[in-house]
Amino acid sequence: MKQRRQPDHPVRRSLRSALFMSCWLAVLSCPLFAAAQAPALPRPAIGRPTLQKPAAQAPSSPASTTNPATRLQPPAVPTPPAQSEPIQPGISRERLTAIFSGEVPTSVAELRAMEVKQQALIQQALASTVAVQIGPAHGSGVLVSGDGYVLTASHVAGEPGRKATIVMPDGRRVKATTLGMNRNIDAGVIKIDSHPDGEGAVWTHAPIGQSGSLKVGAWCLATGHPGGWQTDRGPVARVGRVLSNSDTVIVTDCTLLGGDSGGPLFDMEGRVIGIHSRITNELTENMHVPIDGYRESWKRMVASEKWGHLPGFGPVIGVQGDPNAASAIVTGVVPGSPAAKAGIRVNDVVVDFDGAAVADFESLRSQVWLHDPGDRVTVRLRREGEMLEVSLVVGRQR
Amino acid sequence: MRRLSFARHPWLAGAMLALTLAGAISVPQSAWAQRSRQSLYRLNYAAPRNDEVVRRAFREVVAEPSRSMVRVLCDNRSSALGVVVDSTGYVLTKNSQIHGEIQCHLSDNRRLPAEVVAVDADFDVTLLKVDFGDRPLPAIRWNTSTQPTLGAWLATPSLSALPVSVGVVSAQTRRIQSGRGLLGIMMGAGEIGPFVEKVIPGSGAEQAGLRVADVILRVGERQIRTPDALQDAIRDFKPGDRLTLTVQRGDNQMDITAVLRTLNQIQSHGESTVSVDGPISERSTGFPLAMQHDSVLDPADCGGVIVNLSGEAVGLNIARADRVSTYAIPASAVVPLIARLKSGTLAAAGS
Repeated sequence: MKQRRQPDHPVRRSLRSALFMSCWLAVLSCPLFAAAQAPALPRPAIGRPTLQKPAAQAPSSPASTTNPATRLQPPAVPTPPAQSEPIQPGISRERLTAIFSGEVPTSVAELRAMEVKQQALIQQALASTVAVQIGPAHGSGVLVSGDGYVLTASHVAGEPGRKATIVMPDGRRVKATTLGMNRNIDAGVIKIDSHPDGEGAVWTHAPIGQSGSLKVGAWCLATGHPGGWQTDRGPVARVGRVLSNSDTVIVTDCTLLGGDSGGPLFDMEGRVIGIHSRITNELTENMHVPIDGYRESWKRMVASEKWGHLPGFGPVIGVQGDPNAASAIVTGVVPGSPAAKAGIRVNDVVVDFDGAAVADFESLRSQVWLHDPGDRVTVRLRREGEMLEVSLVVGRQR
Repeated sequence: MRRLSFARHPWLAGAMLALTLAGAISVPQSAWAQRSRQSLYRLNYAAPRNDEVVRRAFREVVAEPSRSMVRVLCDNRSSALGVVVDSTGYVLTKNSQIHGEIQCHLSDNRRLPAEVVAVDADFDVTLLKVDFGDRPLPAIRWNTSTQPTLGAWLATPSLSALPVSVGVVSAQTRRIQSGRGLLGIMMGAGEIGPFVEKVIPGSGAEQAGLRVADVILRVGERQIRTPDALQDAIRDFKPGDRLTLTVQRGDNQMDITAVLRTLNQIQSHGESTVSVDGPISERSTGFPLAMQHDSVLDPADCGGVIVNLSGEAVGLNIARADRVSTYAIPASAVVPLIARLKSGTLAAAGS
């Protein structure tokens, strides 16, 4: 698939300036959309983390630090809890696990057992939580490998190949570079360039968990830097519950704010299960990218591919068609849409979209999807046997 | 005010990207958010942390401290929680919530008049005196020796059997810098003083009824001749403070009381801007020391205590600051403060 570089369009420019104004990165340029399901080949993987679906292997030892590639594989489920874990009198380990995986505490003793675990977990979680600065943008991230892979949100990373600064929990700043991103779910990856303590030095990092098997009601821990890095405050922790869970988004009541984007959501075993993405006005609607999405997109992301569109930000032109028809014949035009403004009418047949031949409505749809809102394109149409050409600006989903 | 723009700007225009864009191009709410919400209710949905089913586990935790809680009413409206710090009739609460005629609704259901005996403006606390008569209420039990660590449970007791909110310690206890208080007007230089060119929606100026062309003559007792002088006068106040402005409107002079707000408060009060914070306290910055926790608290439920799982008061809720932050003065700072407020009173009474 080719990479498109569109001339800067006023709409895009204004959107981008709005984003910069609010200290967020623009995300609307240079799409690289790959329709093929086959992931790009990974580069030679020396010390490169592999985020694979767990095979039926034995759980990896959390103590092994020699090979980051092995450590990044999610542990088989369920992970046996550490033997030193303190349990409140009268509260069995099984009961505590049951609460954390979806039940509610019913007594002070159970609350105490939760508290002990929460306190230990937060210390562990904060050690791998970082702040991410890319130009004027401030976000968060989480270290998931000893050699410096940082998970973040695609709208924080912005573009592959950008220079980034990672602020460690102790305030130390290191240089990094953004890799690829799957904007369909808002997933992004950053790689720390080198360890200041020299080759072979290993970053403290968090293990990767699984999101698909998460039950609603499961307790979780969010960390990040709301409002950006603040020296006297450090990262901020929040405890909540998984309120809903799907393939594309986890919703929790761990409250998030700007600057948290890209930060980690942990299960109560300290494994990363999601990455903070967005919120609504409701305090109980905080949304996280499911970690399984990173695993599925991993090879393409570490190969610095960028693809997809943030949900709600996909490109549209405003025509309706018949997916079963033999041509891309227009059966409806949305009033006020880019197509309507360009003068496209019902019964027009689209034959070419921005230089790509269009055979039917489905191929028109996929051609549109390759563009970003704000792109100016030329569309060739057949109307009553005549060929004509119109120009339009691609719009955005509403 | 580098810090202000640094820390506050990212979420002012929208904490999530979608909101940022939605705000920038005047769409009331993003399609993304709407769709997420629709799909959310189709899915299996769990009770949030602050749901009653979870708060019930804290019943025993707040049983004792809730007897020391009072509901502070100002001009018959619920303004804050307060806490009995001395069974002879002293109640501590959040100062900037207090105005007008003060009453305390007690845990034994009495409603008694109260009066302010001393104020600490830095911590934004007020000590009230209430005459409990022959039915004293128990004073709250403080724990000043063990500061709760990150992840420790905190419950906010009220007068009912369950806490109004529960949460955990979420960030380091620290000084909370003062935000910059804004009146919310654009002004021009006039012959007799600065005049209002524009009133910013969502500002204290708008709420107080300042109008375009009003000329500002005085802030409190301070004469104002120029826009710079007005700026200087406002700098002496904090967000949440009330300013009395003497204003020339046409042929009339009048006094107008306006509250200073921070930029983000103005934005969240403005109807045109999407607020992601929910209700926040008028005075939410500028505390010498505060513990940060993640309990979601209504501003009118500030002023009372937070307790640990042993039911001991470990802090006084002093502000709901934003979507992720509630601040509490640590017990180790509250207890000496009470002593100071009381001694100040005695000195004043004796003089």
